Amino acid sequence: MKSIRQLVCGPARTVLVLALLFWLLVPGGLGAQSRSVSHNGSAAIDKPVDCRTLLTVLKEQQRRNQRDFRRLQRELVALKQQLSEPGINEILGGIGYILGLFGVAFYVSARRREKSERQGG
Amino acid sequence: MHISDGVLPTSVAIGSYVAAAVLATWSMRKTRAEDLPKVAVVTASFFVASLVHVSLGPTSVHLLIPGVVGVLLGPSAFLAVALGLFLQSILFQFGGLTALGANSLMMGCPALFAGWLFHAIKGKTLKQHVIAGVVVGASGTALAAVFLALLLFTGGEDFFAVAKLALAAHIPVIIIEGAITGFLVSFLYKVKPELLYLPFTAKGNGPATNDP
Repeated sequence: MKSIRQLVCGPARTVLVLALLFWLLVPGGLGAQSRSVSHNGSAAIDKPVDCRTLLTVLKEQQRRNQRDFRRLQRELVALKQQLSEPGINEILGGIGYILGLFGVAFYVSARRREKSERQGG
Repeated sequence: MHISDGVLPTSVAIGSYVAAAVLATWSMRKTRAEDLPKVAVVTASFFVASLVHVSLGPTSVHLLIPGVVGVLLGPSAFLAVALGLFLQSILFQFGGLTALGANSLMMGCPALFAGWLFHAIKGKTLKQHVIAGVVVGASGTALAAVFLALLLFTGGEDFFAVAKLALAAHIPVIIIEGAITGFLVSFLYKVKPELLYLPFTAKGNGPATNDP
């Protein structure tokens, strides 16, 4: 019992404190993220906006959006075509209908024949 | 090769429905009860064959197999074609329900003709059978194209222009169908020749004759 308490108070606590420090200090950690957000915001206000840079960034963004849009359009067309083609469900369903209808016809004809045979015999 | 809804004038659509119904009834009465499983299987094949696409440059055409259906089923072929087309129009949106009669005539009459022609020109030997099969398979499809032109002609189209166009578009299919029917006939001749003869031996033992 005593040894367990010693363990919790001793090395385990040290490890916990070290982990907390690591989390706060290492760049990219959660602490660093919250700090960097505030830093960026102040920089955008402080620096004068370079219009040319902004333009290139926007143009690049637009180009990427257009590309994505075209890709989506192509996918939409392909999907439409795929939907208009009959799938495996329709094919199997149709075959099932055919076999079922002929099965019913066969049944009816067999019954009729049986009845006429009974009447004759 | 399907006629869509609204292409044909109403009078032609109704008239072709009546003609198709008469032919289907006749075909049903000709069908013997013991042949029903065979008719079912051939109908299913006809139903699925239209999904086999032959790509041809920008467009693609699909198999029609009126020749095969006619050879295997004889007079029952019209029933098989009508049922297959009905399910195709419901499930695949091929053609339309109002044009079903016209489509049945367009595919069913060549099938009946193919069956009759095969019965008439098949000889005794394997070679004669295969030649008859090729001729029947090719002419069945070609005749379907001619029927298409004939039906569209009633809707005000130019008969020769449509016929030329339909035949030109289906030349690859005509060739392929001839080959398929020839292969099928040669195979059946070796394996199960009675399939090629039975449809035409009129025993008249069908469900219709059992009516009191």
